[in-house]
Amino acid sequence: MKTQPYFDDIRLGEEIPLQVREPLSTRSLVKWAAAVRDFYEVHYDKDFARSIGLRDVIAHGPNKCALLGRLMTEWIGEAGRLHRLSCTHKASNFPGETLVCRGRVKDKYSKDGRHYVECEVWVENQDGVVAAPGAATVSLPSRG
Amino acid sequence: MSGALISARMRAAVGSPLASGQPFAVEKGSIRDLAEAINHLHPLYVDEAYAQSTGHGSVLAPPTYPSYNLALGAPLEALTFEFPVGSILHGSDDWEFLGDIHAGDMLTPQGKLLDLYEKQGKRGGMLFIVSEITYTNQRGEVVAIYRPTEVVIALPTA
Repeated sequence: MKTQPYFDDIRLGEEIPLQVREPLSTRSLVKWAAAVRDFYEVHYDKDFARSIGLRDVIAHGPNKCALLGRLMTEWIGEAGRLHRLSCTHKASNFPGETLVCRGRVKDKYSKDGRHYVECEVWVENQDGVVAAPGAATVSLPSRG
Repeated sequence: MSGALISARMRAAVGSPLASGQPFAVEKGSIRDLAEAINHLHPLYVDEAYAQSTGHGSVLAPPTYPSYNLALGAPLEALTFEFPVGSILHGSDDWEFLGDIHAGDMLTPQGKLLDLYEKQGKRGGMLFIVSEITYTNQRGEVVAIYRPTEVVIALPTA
């Protein structure tokens, strides 16, 4: 099992010691489409995607957001909680690319008995091109 | 304040309810489908005995599970655009997670049109439509609030 991170050990500016890497394929896009029942053709029909000027089908934005959710929940462990997660979709991603989810600690504070950590998070591709920058708020257990 | 793309009638719709779908049951199968789609088969999501051993009544849903029932088209159907529409993009996601969601829960989505704003982009005018979907469980607890933004790109007018 992974080590549970504690609020006390979090350092401002540190990168989250975990990355989520997911290769994109038409199959992975269809799995997402089926899981959330989003059947917009731009995500699995290449002819349709080309008819609106794209070179191929594209990954769903909410799929990238959900992968950022996976990054944060994997990192914070079962004693942590994810409170807020947002991201903005800046670039399309296509089958053959790999989505890489990363994060960095921006702030930490205690309030009403909870120990919060604010993070900058983002999805980039295998070449480091940022597709979905965002933010996440989690709380962690404290040793104190 | 209305702009080139936002008519007074569209502006007046801000704050009004949106069609957001029927109440839906949280099912183990759909939790597993989502966990597989993000390649995160955590035992809390897929192993009932493990979930119960850690104090959960049943398997837990991944955070963005309510998007299982998302109605991203609702704000687009509720508005009448008074400009030629080029394309529509999903602009952003914003989630607040307020409580756990477990298999066996019944979630009721309630949508509203939260905000409209416009920007001038490289390809022309862009209308940003922010909606808000609140998910309430069978005990009346709000477990998640989702605020997606759809972006409507206007075709340049001659």
